[in-house]
Amino acid sequence: MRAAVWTLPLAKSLDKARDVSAREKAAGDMAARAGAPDVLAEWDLVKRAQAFDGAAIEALYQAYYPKVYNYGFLQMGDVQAAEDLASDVMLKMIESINKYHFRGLPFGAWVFRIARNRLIDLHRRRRRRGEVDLSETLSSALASPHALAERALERGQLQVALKHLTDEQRQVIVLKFIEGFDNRSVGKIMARSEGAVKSLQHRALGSLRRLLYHDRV
Amino acid sequence: MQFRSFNSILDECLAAIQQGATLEECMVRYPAHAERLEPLLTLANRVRSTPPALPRPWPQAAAWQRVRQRATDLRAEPRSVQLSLDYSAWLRPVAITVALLLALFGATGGTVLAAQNSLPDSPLYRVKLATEDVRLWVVFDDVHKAEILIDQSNERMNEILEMNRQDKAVPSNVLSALRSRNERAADILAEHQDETGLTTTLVQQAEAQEGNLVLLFNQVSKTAYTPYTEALAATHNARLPGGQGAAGIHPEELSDGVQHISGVAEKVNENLWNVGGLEVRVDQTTIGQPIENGSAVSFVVGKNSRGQLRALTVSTRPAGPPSGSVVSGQVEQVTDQGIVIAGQFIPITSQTLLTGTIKKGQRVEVKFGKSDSGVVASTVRPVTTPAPADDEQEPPSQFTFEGVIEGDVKKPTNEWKIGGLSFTITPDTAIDASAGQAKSGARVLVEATRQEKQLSAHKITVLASDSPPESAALIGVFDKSRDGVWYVSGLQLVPPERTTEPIPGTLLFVDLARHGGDLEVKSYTRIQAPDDTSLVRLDVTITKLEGAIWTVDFGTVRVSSTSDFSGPEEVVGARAIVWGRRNQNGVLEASFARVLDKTAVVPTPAPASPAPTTAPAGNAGP
Repeated sequence: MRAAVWTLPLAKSLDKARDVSAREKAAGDMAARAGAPDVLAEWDLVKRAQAFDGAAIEALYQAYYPKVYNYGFLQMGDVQAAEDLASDVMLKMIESINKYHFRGLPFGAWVFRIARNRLIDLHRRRRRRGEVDLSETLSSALASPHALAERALERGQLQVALKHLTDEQRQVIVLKFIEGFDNRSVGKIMARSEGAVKSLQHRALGSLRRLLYHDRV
Repeated sequence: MQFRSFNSILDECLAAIQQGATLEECMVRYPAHAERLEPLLTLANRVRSTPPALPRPWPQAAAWQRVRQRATDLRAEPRSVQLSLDYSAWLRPVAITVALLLALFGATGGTVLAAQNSLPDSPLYRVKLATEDVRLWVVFDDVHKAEILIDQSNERMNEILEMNRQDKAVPSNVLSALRSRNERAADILAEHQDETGLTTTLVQQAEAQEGNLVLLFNQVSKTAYTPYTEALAATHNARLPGGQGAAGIHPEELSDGVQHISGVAEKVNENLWNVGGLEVRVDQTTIGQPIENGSAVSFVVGKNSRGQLRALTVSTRPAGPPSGSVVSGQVEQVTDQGIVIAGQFIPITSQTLLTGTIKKGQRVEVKFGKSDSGVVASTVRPVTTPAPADDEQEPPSQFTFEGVIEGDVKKPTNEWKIGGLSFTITPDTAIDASAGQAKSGARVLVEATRQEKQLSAHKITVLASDSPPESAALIGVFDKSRDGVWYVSGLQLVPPERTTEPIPGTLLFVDLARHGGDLEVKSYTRIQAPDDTSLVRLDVTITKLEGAIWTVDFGTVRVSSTSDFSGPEEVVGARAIVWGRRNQNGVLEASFARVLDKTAVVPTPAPASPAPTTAPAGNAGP
């Protein structure tokens, strides 16, 4: 029983992939290793989108626009900036989709790598323009005694606390626990090794806890 | 029993809980860590359960219209461009096919041959890269592949240097190609640690490449900044043991610039050093000799988006002469081995970074560096004359300013107030704090440009000076006088009444006094007449004094009683700015000399603390 719990599920059945070409099968193997359950279905969708199939493009758009928007909103705390980011990333996704080849990097991680690069550019441009971050003070985000119960964090609370993390810690929290990427994908998006991601997530959770529960740690 | 790190245990529990295990099961499995695990796992669960921010429907719908339109355009593009000369969409696959066929069948196609000499701004450059890719496809031996990648990386750097020699901006394609070759070579060699010879070749090559990339900061095309940081990070990481490992520099660490900082290192904590008043992180990704507390060091640092500085490389060699010395003047002679300025031969080596084609009669700026054979030119670049002013916009003007730092500059900031003027710290502003800390009250020399009312500092040098805080000085060009105010290199100065006005275009040294918000002219000296191009400027350190003859890094210069002189008395080890020309006897004769330091700026100062300590995390490199 315990063994079943502690053995991480790896590949779902690769039967579907057996009748496709060797290259696609290799992609499927890698997809399985990437640990994403619906990655094969998505791979199929991506191939259709690469031929500019309208329905496939729309499906990818509907799947990723909200995710990228949420990612941008948590990083910047600005609805309009998050919308601009999501819109830019979707355009870039469609313009570059033929450059995407499944070499161990799930499509979602590829999209988020675009988003991360774009976000870095945006931060740099904002700083060059001398824009000041008018984020809320941390005290407004500190958890009340009630908040210590095991319920979900309020989004605003999380967003303010995230602003006080380092860029890499914030990335790892959002990518891993909000967007649900595995270590390998997070590593690919952030150009870090899986070991570095494990270490970062430990530090990030520790920092976040200290920020949220301030006087209790 | 096998040791497992807490990071690894935490990660296993996080994954298990995501797959349905309970927190309690995790606690039972790792009772020794339960106390540390529980709050972190609980928090992770709470973060996971946080409801996502949902986008507003109408912006999402509007964005979809744009994406759909773009998809429609892209769907139509392959048909419409097949016969056009727009090579961007289709040239690469075609290039790969052509290159593959030619490579496989041994043919010598004109296109492929022509492409071999193409530069990154050529349409054929894609063919060149594609041909190289094809070559790699047919190599199945990893080590041989790494060998080829190292050669290709070298070729990319040569292309970058050639672009610079032609005074062209370095585009993103060649930077991305350099990054990928270095990354792939390092990855392969990390798996083949017995290949020490090849690893050494890669590390040595990457060291030279990193040095060049840092110097080329300003030659990179504005749109290529991200590929530049990626290429620089990958090149740096290729020098680290284990290649592109977890501990490498991330491009984000360079997102706000790459700077040279020199000064005396004082240890703050395990990974943090204070250098000339600025805090620099030094860790296992820093390459160089171990740092001793109180030693003179030179850093190349990356600046991240939070303004934090992280050392890429550290050199504990003396920060003093000759590195950093500069001569600016007209080229009298050009040979394969070097150039002659003011009768002095300056060697040029294969390591010299040449910008543009150097011609006789051209005015150039030469920075000196050290090599095994002695002092050589480190960089040579033409001095450009600003475009003539129009009614709308002033041309950029360069000037040198001396004043006192006001306010705290220790915190990451992009604005320093010096002598009442606000200077922008650019992504590559060099800071030389060899003579003392860059802090409030320190007197500094600023090399700067004024453009569109903004003052950008290129280099800030802390001076060994006891001048009063209200005194300042300026070397700049007199532009005009209007309503009793002088404009020198765009800066407004208040002259005393009835002062003779210089001719516009005259280069001046102006001794200033701050009075309220004004800079008042105490006295001025004409350095160079508007039509005179024969003078050279030397920014040097005095290494020897024999009567009127000063020996400096550039050679010797005679500073006689007829030379205009300002600043403290000259001493060996002090830095100076000298303007002069060759006289009939071939001697470089100073017409103006300004000594900057009242004492020697000792390259290797005495230890500041009794027991030297060593940076533990510094990486001496393989």
